[in-house]
Amino acid sequence: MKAEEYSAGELVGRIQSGDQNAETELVARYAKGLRLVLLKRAGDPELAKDLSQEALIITLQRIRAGGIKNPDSLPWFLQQTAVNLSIAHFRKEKRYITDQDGIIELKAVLKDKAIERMNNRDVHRILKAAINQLSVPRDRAILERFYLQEDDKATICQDLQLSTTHFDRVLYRARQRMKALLQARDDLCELLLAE
Amino acid sequence: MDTRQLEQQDLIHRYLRDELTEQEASAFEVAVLESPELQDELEAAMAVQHSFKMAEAKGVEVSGQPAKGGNLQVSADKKRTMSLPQWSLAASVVIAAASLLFFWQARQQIGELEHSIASQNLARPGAGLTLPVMRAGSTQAFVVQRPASGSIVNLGVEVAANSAQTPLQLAFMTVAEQQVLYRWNGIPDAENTVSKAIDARFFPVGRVWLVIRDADGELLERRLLEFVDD
Repeated sequence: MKAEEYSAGELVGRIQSGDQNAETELVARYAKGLRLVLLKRAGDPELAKDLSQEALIITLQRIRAGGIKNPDSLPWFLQQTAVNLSIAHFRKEKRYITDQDGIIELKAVLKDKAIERMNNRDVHRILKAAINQLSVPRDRAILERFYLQEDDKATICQDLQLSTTHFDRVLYRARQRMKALLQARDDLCELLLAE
Repeated sequence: MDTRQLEQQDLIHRYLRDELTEQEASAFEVAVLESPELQDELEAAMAVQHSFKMAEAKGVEVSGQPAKGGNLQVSADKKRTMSLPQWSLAASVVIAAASLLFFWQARQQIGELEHSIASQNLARPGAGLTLPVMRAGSTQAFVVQRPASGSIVNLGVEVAANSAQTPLQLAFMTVAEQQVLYRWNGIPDAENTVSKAIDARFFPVGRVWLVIRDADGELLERRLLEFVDD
């Protein structure tokens, strides 16, 4: 049976019976999804990687100890563990400053370490090349408004006099092109996702 | 692109914009964990979003529409300094803060601006334009003469004293406030002024809003500007 054919419950059962291959399969199956979830929640690629590894370690330890009561709910356990880790991390990382008006709470300072490792010229070159390939120039305004200015679809369509079909198609095509770019270009992957 | 893909696309973007309830977001995240296909789609959407945000932060050109009727280019290659001979040749608009000569009263109806242009100074090297947008008692709207083509103007926006050292986001926006024509960030200096060297081609034509937001995107002020040609 191939690794992807085992259900979550079967994977848990194999791990509990000492199958180390099953542990490797669990990590391979869930690592990317966990990293993406934590990237969204934490906003920082390096932090997302660290937290996703921690979530996997916690989950494996729990499985080995027989602590997952409903093996088929493994994905839910992983998701909750990831959420709890991100919450705990930001609680720990809160910093406070005082000013004359009282205490002001600051968000944790997150750094994009991939950018720090690359020089500015390379960053410019990589980003410009990627954005140029996502869409034709006339559609770039749509992407910019949606992804950068976070305008909603209805507003953009109204302003630019687009059909929703056109709008959806532009976003879909940009995503498909980005998928191809991420597969082809390690430097882009490193820059955008620290992967 | 079929209906399922469309629904998936909508769901991904609602998730990325925090438009799902916590319960919906959790269910979506579990689906992500279980579906390699959904992971690829989510990853691509995040990468597109991140590429635009990073490009803006780095000053990389993202769109290629001209100022009027479209988005402006913010080019990383744009020269921000000019030599003295170049300044002396440029036809910059100079309005000294102490002798601000462009005033009017904006009416309730946006389409009816009453204004008067008293006079203007001629260009001189190092000249700039300062708008006392958030100074106490300043007028609601301004008429501004557009700088001549090929020039670069130091635009100063004078903000409230309690904005000092606070990062601000500024933008020219269409009057319906639905399209950003040009945007920039800055921190007020000791004179409560956010300064930006702007190429003349980025100055809009006609009536626009000058919008000022804080670092969190909260609207602080907006003023109506009308850019006129000589």
